[in-house]
Amino acid sequence: MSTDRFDEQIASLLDTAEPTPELQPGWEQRAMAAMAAAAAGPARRAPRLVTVIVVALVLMLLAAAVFAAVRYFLVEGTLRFTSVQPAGPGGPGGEVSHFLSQGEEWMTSEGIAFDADISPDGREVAYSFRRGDPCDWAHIVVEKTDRSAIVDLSGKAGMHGVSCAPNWSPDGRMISFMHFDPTPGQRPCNAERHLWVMNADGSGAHQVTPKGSPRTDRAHWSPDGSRLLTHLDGVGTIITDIWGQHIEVAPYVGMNPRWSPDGTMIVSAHSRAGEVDGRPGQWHQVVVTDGNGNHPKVVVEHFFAFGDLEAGYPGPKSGKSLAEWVDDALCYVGPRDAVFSPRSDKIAFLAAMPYDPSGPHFLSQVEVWLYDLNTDETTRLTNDDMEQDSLFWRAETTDRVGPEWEESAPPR
Amino acid sequence: MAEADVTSVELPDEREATDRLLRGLHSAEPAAHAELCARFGRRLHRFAARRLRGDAELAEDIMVATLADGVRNIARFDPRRAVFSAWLFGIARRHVTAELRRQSRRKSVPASAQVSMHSLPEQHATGDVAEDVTGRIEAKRQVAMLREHLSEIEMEVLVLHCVDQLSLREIAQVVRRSERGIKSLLHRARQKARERLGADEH
Repeated sequence: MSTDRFDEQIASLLDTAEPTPELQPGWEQRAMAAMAAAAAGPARRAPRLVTVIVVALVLMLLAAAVFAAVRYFLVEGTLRFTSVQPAGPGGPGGEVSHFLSQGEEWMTSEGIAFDADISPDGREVAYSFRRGDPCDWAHIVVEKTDRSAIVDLSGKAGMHGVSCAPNWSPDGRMISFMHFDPTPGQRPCNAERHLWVMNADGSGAHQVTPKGSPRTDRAHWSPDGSRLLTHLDGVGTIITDIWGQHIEVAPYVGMNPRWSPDGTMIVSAHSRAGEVDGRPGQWHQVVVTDGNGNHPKVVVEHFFAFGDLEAGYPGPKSGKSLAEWVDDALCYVGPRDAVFSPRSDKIAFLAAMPYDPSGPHFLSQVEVWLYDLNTDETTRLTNDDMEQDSLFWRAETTDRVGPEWEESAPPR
Repeated sequence: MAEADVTSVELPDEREATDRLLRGLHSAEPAAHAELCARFGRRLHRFAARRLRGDAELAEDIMVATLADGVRNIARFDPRRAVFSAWLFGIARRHVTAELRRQSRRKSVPASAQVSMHSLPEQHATGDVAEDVTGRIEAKRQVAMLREHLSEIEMEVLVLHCVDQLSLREIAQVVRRSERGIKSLLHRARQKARERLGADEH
């Protein structure tokens, strides 16, 4: 291949991998104004070396003083999680602590509330609401946490069909959700779910993922509220702006992605088939990328042999076949549900590492772990027979914390 | 193999246009600002966006700042020492470097901690959107592979030449190296890229 053709191939490869983004309308006026201002002002003179050194020394001394003063006030925050005592011969079991978390449902007198998400200021809760099965109708509802008001946002937006999985933007001004119009006879899980965003008052509802795109999953907001992470079936994880105009595939971002509070990293879970010492199984990983989904780093990795999971099968009394048992175990043994600490320097996650086939149920072997990004150290925080779930890290330094809902006081 | 640098010579028409542009910039004519914007705005934006991982807004800020710096400091530009486009790209490069340095001070995954993509699971795609996306994923994988095997400066020279269409002389001025050194770097970068892409196909 000639040099010119090779150069063209390289250019084409780079353009495909990293397409040039469009310039915003009005960029020329902005540039002209900046140039006119620059032409009117004096030229910048290069600072003298002595000046640079003196300024640098002063800044270093100042920074050292400020760091010494501020360090004292930095608080790590508290890692909270739901810890459930499994039912056993000694009693029915019970919940040790309980938080409103995703995936929970409450039966109400009118229907079922599910997929709840508390607003960042803790004053409202957004949830999906449906009236029994079949699930061909569900609305996004926002309710004051003191139960003083309730608004049917989907109804206000004139939307029909099923809207679910609401998520507040970090500033509490918008809500992302999934929406689909079910066709007769179609199961909701097979429907073409799309990602939508609307204002918190129900106005401005618009579809984010393009028409005709594959089914999407629950979205996660970037800390600055400008982007959303979600999963497209058959494509993988994507990062999009709230209008769906700039969609980037993030191939290194796996399941259950979470942005770090400072927005510079994303943590997610990956798994892949593998074999160790002739034993087939699955590698499970916690992977951290930068805030754009690039530069992956595997921070935690553990191999689960199918044989070990099968050996833990309690038999048909579990109500599951062997295959179902192994599938369930693979979902639960982790590492999974990774979340960043408020200072973005640690990652908490759940995992049953190592999995002991002669031990209790795999759920009871799941413990809370901590990975330190600065030291690369992994530490186990819990070691008991409780079932740990719903990791949630809150900063003690802020009072913008959602209320803790007891099971005895569901939203309706 | 001798590799011709077809873009290394500024044609008389181009030189005359650049001279006219410089005269206009010296006398702060709005028409010259408009021409500067038209000739270099998109190229500088693309240059910055590629180095800032597609951050369009930041790239636009840097493009605007570069054009403004160019206008503000036009008296310091010496046509006997540098090509005008290279001088502008050099300003943009300094802005990008400063921005990347700012970003690196914020917490991020250290480069040394990056892992090979082969250790991550493959993703398969279906459908029209998926096909388009799959192509991009594959291209991203190949580019990441090139970045892994080419040094930072080799990759930069390759991109400046193939994508930004800068001549060897211009590249030498942008990255502040000798033209001879750039020629050697480009040759090595092409050779490594050929080997890696060739090996990848098999």
